Parts: sequence; structure tokens; C-alpha cells
Amino acid sequence: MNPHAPHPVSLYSLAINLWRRRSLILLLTKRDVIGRYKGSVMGMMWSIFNPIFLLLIYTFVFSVVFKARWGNDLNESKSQFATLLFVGIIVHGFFAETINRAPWLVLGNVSYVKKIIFPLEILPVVTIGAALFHTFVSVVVLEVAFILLNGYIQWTIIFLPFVMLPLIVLTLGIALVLSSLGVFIRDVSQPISVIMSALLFASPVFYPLSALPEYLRPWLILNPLTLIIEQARAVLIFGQLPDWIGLTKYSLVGLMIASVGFAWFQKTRKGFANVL
Amino acid sequence: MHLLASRGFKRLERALLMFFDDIAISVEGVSKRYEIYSETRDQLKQLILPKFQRSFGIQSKQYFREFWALQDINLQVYKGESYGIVGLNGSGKSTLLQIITGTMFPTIGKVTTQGRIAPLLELGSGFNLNFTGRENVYMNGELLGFNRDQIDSKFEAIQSFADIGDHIDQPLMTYSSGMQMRVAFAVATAFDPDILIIDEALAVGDAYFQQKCFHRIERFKDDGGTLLFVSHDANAVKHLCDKAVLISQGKVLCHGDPRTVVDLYQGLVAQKTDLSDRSLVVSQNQNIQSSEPAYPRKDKGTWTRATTITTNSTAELIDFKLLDATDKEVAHIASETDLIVQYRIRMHKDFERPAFGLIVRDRIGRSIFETSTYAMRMKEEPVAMGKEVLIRFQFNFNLRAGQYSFSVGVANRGFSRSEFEEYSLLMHDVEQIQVSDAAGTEYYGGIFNMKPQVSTYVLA
Repeated sequence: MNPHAPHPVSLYSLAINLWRRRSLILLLTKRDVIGRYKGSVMGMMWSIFNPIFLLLIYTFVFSVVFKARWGNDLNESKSQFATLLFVGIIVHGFFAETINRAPWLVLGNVSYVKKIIFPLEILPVVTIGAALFHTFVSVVVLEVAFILLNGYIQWTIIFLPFVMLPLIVLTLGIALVLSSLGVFIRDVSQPISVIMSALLFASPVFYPLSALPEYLRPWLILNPLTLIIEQARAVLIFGQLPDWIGLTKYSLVGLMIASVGFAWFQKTRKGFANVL
Repeated sequence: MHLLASRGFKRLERALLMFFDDIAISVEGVSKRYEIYSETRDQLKQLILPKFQRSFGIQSKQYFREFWALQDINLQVYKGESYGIVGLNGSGKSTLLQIITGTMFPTIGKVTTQGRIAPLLELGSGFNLNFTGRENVYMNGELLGFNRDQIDSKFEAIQSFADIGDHIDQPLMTYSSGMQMRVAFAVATAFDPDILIIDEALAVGDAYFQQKCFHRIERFKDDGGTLLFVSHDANAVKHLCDKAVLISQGKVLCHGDPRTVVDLYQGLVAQKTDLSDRSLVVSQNQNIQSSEPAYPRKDKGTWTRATTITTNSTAELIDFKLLDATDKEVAHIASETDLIVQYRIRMHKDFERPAFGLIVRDRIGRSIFETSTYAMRMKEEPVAMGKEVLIRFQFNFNLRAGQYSFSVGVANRGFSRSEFEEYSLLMHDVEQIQVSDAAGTEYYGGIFNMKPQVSTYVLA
């Protein structure tokens, strides 16, 4: 490995690099997950308690306080609303966690930039890995609740990875851009956290896409979370097959953004050491 | 014409050497500019505006002050060579190392390296404080490009070299700086790198561990490894390095034989620490590549023979003599006989509390013995301008057979153990002496004969 060679910018080289660094990525991801609960008495148990508490709070607020209903189906139970809601929360949570942390990734690891030769491009991947772990735990909690309520599990859950994968690719692309941008413009993280909060309401988390007036729907499709949340709900709750065509289109856009993001990251990384 | 031809030849030679893979590190015309912004906002402007302005054909403004940390640095380090880098703080040493390591990129110029580099740049660099020692070893191994099995096979060796016991499974933030150093050094050297880069990091270890590190470095050198070594420890550079380079204010001031380079560096240090209002001037002999002192030139009764002269022109060496016990001049003596070092200094100003010093150095310029009239707590008497002073050091020269050289110094107003407010003159290697084994004495190793009283008892 020659540190003086120019950094390759193709998505293919990124894939090769990530594969070569897989054990380092795994090691760092593990530390990231464990590190978050370090020193707390219950440790890793919090990663399970947190989604449970969240699920209970949403159930209470929306079903008991707001008496909200999902669709026009009058037989729908209070807890049903909570599981529908929770799917959206999980998907948004994954996206928001990664994107919120992205501007800090390089900024917070100055020694990785200046003191050693570190494959900086794996930092967003590690963050995605840690976020995926929390997503996984939340999905398990969701499914346990679903089984308790309904007595069965939707077999279409096996398609969930196919629903999430396009989002992961897109998230990686955005995270790469933000982690580089955060180095040069420290203000980036501020609007990002506001945008992420707004996105929770701008996505069909608390309502189905069909509840929106017809003229608004095309706009909501521009939100990267809309399709994924709807599709996750389809495979997890409604037992429907995913919309393969929609997911394929989404993947193509995701790959495009990821390759632009990676190229941007590789082009700008030479400047990191100058400003940190 | 001749110059052009020789340049062309040099280029050809370099190309051939690269072809035969003989050069480990090649730094060609490297300059590094730092952009200093008074406001963060300017950084953003600089990032965006010039490109726009250029595309509209407007002259773009520069939003930063520039600082050239390195200017036109050229360096060739051959495989198996040990290269020392010395320089004052802020001279650009670390920037150069970062550029060679590949963590920073030159503004102008090119760096090529052959082989795997293990950098040991700064304490704790590349270490995660929340991880345990063991995890950090694995992470660093991965970063160097090794897989789990390969690290597994080295782990035992790393652990035993670092020698920090159970702490290896504690998070790094609980480590002392010495312990961190131990782990870092153990990891950096464990994976048989081709190029080892060490940046002053050894200074934190205790004496025992430093010795261990030096042994490891020597073994690394013997195995044909290339070493790049930054240190303020003059003797370590002279001992470890085949060549050295002195960097000052981002430029190469001199390179070549470590002894010459380090002497010049120490002259610069004296310049910095000197508190008097007269400025110190450091000069060196033309034939810098050679450790042999140049021919004596005696003009106007001044002694000019020396490899490095640091002076503020307030004192001047007039004469220097090596004498035996009968006051006869000698050029070689037998070990363990009396030697008198006698020199004459002329003062060009009033000295309130003058001190006169002497340094005995070995063949590669390592200091064997240093003293001064101040360090010896002798009575200090003022000397008026224009006067001359004769100084005589007499001692039993019980050093091992070999070649030694003498340096003399004059300073004013000493304080603490052996520091001075004003450094007037330091001349390295003004004269040398050949010491032969003392007739009839037993053999010994090391530097000098300590003449122990030995008794042995066979115990029942």
C-alpha cells in the first residue's frame, strides 16, 4: 500500500476497500456500540430497553391521548397503531442517527487524519454499522410486540434487508459528503440536526402516505425516507411483497449519490490535514 | 556546460537507483504552505469564491496569510540507511515526517517511498483511549495491513516487549505516557516494517525501556531496515544514524555526517538560549562531509581549526596545545598517562564571571566528558577587555585506545548547574589525539578504565 498514490474515486474501489477492511470495520463497529453504554450499570441492556420504552410511550400518546387512527379500518386496535408508527420511527432513527453523526466523523478523529494512515472512508460505514445494530434490536422488539398482539409473524419480514439496502447505500453517500464538509465548514452539523427532526414529521411516520392530499404526494416521494418507510411497513406489518420496481429505481439513485459522495470525499480528503 | 552535464548525470543516476530499488525514501523539491485564516468565514470564502471569480475572469483575492513550513526540501534515503533529522522546535521536522508518512500532502513537490512504513509519530497517535491495549494492538495491526491470524502470531512478542503485565487488558486512558509508549513502540517494530519513522517518541520511556528500544532499533538496522529518526538527543543521533539533516525555518541548512550536522544544530540551540545582546554566529568548515578537522590556518594569531565554531566574537581562541606531564607537545599518548590540555583565550569585552570549558569527544562525536570552570565551582574572577587567559586542564587520560577530539568553550555569567547567560565561543574538534593501549594493563571493554578492586571467593 503506497500512501503517496492518489486516492481512487470509483465506487468499485470503495467496495474493494471496504471488503479488505472488513475486520477493522467490525472491530470499530463493535467498540462503537459497546462504547455508547460504557460505564452504565445495565450496559448493553439499554439498547433493548430504549426501543421498548419508546414503543410504550408512542402507544400511550397517540392511542390514548390523541386517539389517533391509522386508516379508516374501525377494527384497528390501539396497539396496532403503535406498531405501524414504530416502523417509521425505526427507519427514520437509522437515517437520522447516521446523518447526525456524519459531520463529526472526521472532525472527531483528528489523530486518524494527521498521525497515522487510516482508511478514513470506513468511518461512515462504521457509523452505519452501529446504527444498523440498533435498528436490528428495535426490529426484534417490534416483532415480539407484533407476535404478542397478533399471534403470528408476517413471513414477508425476510424482504426487510432488500428494503433497507437501498437506504443504506444512499445514507452512505450522504454521510461521506457530510463527514468531509463538516471538516471545512463546522456549521454543517447545526442545520443537519434541525433537518433531521423536521424529517420525522415530513415523512410518513405518524401517518400513511395515502392520508395526504393527492397534490402533495409526489413531493413527499422526494423525501428519501418515504418509499423505505412505506415498504418497511408493507413487509413487516401488512405482509405485502415489496415494490421491486420502486426499490430498483431508488437503488439506482442511491448508487449515483453514493458514487458522487465517495468521489467528493476522496477529492477533498487531501485537505483534511490542513484545516484540522 | 560542466554543471549541466553533471546535473543530467545526477538525474540519470537517480533514475537508475530507483530502477534498482535502492532508494527507500525520495523527497523531491517538497514545499508545504499552510493557509492561516484569521476567521473561519474566510476559509469558506477561499474554498468557493476563487473558482467562481476565475470562471468569470475576475482576479481572485486571497483570503489567508500564508506560512511556508517547508521550502524546497530534497532528501534521498537509501535502503538500509539511518537518517537523522534535527532542528529546533517549529523548524518543520514534524511536517516533513507527516508528508513522508503520507498523512499530509506537499503543496509543491513529490514524495515517493518504497516499502511498508511504520510511523511512530507522536505519543498516543493512532491509539484509541477507550480501547484496551490489546484492542489497540489489533487495530494498529489491521491498519498496517495485517489480518487477524498474522496479528495473533505476533501478539505474544508484542506483549512481552511492551512488558506492561495485566494492563494490556485495561483501557488506554488508564495508561501512563510511558506505558502507551511501550505499546506503541512494540507494535510499530513488531511487524517487520521496511521503513521505521520515529519522532522524538522515545523520550518518554524510562532509561531501561529506552535501552531496550535502542537495541530493537539496532537489530532493525542490522536486518537492513531503513530508519528515519527525529531526536533532540545529540548522542542518540550520532550513535544511530549514518547521515543527518538539519532543518531550520523550513529549509535544509546542512546535511551529511551526523557529527557535523548535530554540532551545527547545537550551535543553533546555543544561539537560541543565549541571553546576551550580541548575536551568535555559527560557522562550519567547508569540507563538511569529513569528520577530519581542516588544516590549521593561523591568521592574525587566531586558532581557526575546528569543525564547528559558534561565537558572538567576544572571545577568541589564540592557541591550543596538548601536553604530556613534562609539558612537551604530544599528538598521541598511551592510555592512563597524564595529559594537559592548554589553551589561550583573548577577551574582546569585559567578562564579569567568565567560565572556560572543555569537551572530550569520541570518534563519532559523542561526548565522553564535559566540564567547565563554572561546573567545577571554581572561583570566578572578572577579566577585562583585551586580556588573554591561559587555561590548563590536567587529567589522567584513562580512555580506551582510539581517537578522541577536544572542544573548547567560553561563556559568561553561569547559573543553575551548568548554564550561562551568555555563550561567547564554542569550537568543536580543535585538536585530536590518538590514544594507544597502556603498556602492561589488562584488557577491558567500554569507554574508560574504572580500575575496580576485584576479589573472588569460592563459596562452599
